[in-house]
Amino acid sequence: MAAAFADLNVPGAPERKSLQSLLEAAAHLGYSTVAINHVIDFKEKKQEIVKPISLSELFPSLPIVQGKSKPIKIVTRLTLVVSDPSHCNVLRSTSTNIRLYDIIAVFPKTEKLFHVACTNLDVDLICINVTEKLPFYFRRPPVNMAIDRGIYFELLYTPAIKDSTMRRYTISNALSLMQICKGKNIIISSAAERPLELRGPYDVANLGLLFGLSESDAKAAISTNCRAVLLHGETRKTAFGVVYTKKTPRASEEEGVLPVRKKAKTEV
Amino acid sequence: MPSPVWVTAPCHGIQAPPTLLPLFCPFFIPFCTGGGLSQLRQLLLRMLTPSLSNYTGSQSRGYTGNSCSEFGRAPEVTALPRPPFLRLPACLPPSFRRGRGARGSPRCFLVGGCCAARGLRMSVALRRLRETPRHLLVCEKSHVRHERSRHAAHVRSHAYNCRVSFLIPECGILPEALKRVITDFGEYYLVKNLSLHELVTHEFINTFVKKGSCYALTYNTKIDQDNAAALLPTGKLIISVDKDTYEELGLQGRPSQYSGRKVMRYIVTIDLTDSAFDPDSKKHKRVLWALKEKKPLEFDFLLSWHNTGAEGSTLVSYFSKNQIQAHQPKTTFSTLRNLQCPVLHSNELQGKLEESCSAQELFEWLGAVCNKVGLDNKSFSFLSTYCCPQPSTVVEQAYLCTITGFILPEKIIQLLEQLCCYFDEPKLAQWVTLTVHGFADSPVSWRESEHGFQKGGENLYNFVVFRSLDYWLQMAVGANDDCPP
Repeated sequence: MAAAFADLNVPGAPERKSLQSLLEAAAHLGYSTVAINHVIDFKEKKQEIVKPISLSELFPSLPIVQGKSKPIKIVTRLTLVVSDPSHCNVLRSTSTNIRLYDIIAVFPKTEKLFHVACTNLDVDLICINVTEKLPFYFRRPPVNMAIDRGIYFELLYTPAIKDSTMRRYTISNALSLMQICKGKNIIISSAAERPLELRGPYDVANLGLLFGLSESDAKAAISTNCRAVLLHGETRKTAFGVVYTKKTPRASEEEGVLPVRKKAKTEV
Repeated sequence: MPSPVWVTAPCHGIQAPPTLLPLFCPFFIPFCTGGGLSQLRQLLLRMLTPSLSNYTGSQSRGYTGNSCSEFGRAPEVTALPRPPFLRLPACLPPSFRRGRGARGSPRCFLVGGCCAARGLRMSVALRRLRETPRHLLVCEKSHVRHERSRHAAHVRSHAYNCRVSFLIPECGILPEALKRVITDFGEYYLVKNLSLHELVTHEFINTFVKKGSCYALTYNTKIDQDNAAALLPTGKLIISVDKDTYEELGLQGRPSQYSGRKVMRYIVTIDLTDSAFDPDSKKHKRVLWALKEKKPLEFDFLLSWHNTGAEGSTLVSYFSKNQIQAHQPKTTFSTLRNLQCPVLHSNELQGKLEESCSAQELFEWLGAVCNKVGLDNKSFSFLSTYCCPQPSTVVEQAYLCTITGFILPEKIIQLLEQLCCYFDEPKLAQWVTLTVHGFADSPVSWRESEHGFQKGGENLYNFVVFRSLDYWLQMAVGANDDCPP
């Protein structure tokens, strides 16, 4: 997994066709990795965590990334919108479908939950609200703690394309976050619902300048930082990122567990 | 005064048609007032344009919109806040700091492009928006026949060139000699899926690397995302790999200069002609093992070989089992009518008010001409308000020829010689120009200095040859590059 461009937020639409066209557009723009996002808002009743979409179902053949010979890589992501501390319990339980997702993100609605997400929760990404005025100020201790733990903050750019009021909030919220985190541990992703809302990676890096990132930080926000998020998500499936067990499909022989294998240490 | 426009020709790989998509929509900028507004607006325009390029299929390298960088990030070359010498990068050779004028004939000055924020009260993030990314333009002046002139050395040290274009004012038909040089630009080869270890075998080194200049460059690999490799005519093999590959590869390298906070890219340099690299040496075995068994790397390669003596073995026969394809450089001609040309005096590199234009102005203008940007400065044009620098003359016709391909420096020297011979007979033209673009994704620019791709990856140089055979040489690089020699 090289430091290629990634868009870690493509909404998992119910219709296959629109998702397909989104992925094709992303591959055409030069994204090598795309995460299909499944959002769960606990405010609405009866939200169940479903199994992630299987890729073989979605695509018989994946689109080829522009300028490369490799097909696009697709991962799955789960975003939990939490507005009450009890919603976080689902992350602690072990037996749910949560384990099947590659990346787990939380969208904290209050300052308390933001603090909890930064310091305690076992997640990879924390979404920053870009569509309305921030209900709280970012404070340094939780943000620094999150940076130490290797958790990344996500900014979306599609709302800024759609609407001028949202653009104002996007830029001001991003700048207030940037005052605290100094351009570290930021990723920028799209959340685009239509192919026309996607932008090329270099354009997104250019927009990063408006969010207060430096040239190299802006480029890292769509490439190397995304890679770190993916690796951080991978370590959740392992024991401390060191030991990794896997069931072999063979039923007859009694070789349930593969030998202990070294995994590459993630970028923190 | 019109806002300065810096137009660079796209040089991502061989094919990249410059397209200007006139699809812009005005935005309401809610956030910023005062002096930063125009630049913010340009940035946003550049960024947030709903583009149809996905559907026209004409785009280059991940930019949603236009492929020329004509908006926003325009280096404000007109206003230099500090004396340029204060900003010399540390990488410069000491001779440069002393100034070359003291030592011999070639004189030069250097223009750094960063625009400092003027003393407005604003946040750090906003102040950063007023700065342009680093770029360098080095100009020097000398005479073609001067004994210490280094023009050939400069051309030779820039190994990988993807586009050569020359402009001759007041010329309708090319002279025969020039035509012959263009048609005889030599072919280059494309080998698909070639394992890298084939380039370090002794058979290859003895047949090609040691008997002439062998040029190889990976094709369709992006220097900021993928692994890339390049074989220089000096016999150095440079492999630029990302962190994961480097850790698996097992060869010693050094971290890349331009990888930011965390090192994500490493450069491995192997000298193939070194005496320590003979067939039985440990080093050779290690390299072969690493590239063959430890981490087999496969690339599409552009290959070319220049040798003086006629030898039996050729690249075609050597790589016949790897599906080698021969390609000819593509040549396009055009005659530009009623072109406004800046007036230049060979002695005035910096230009003189009302008398001649400076080297920077010429450089900008040439970029606009090569990309067929309109120079008429119409007030209603939303795309470009650029116009020809003053003073200028209208030239009835000018001949513009562009050659694209994998072009060897030896051929460029030949072409330059012929362009100098153009003035042997009396001509109307005061000067001719020769522009050479390097590959945006090559791991090196000049000599072995590392080249990176921040946003443009441009590395190019331009000769202006005057009637008196004085010449100006302008060398420009983008953000992730050493200073040109």
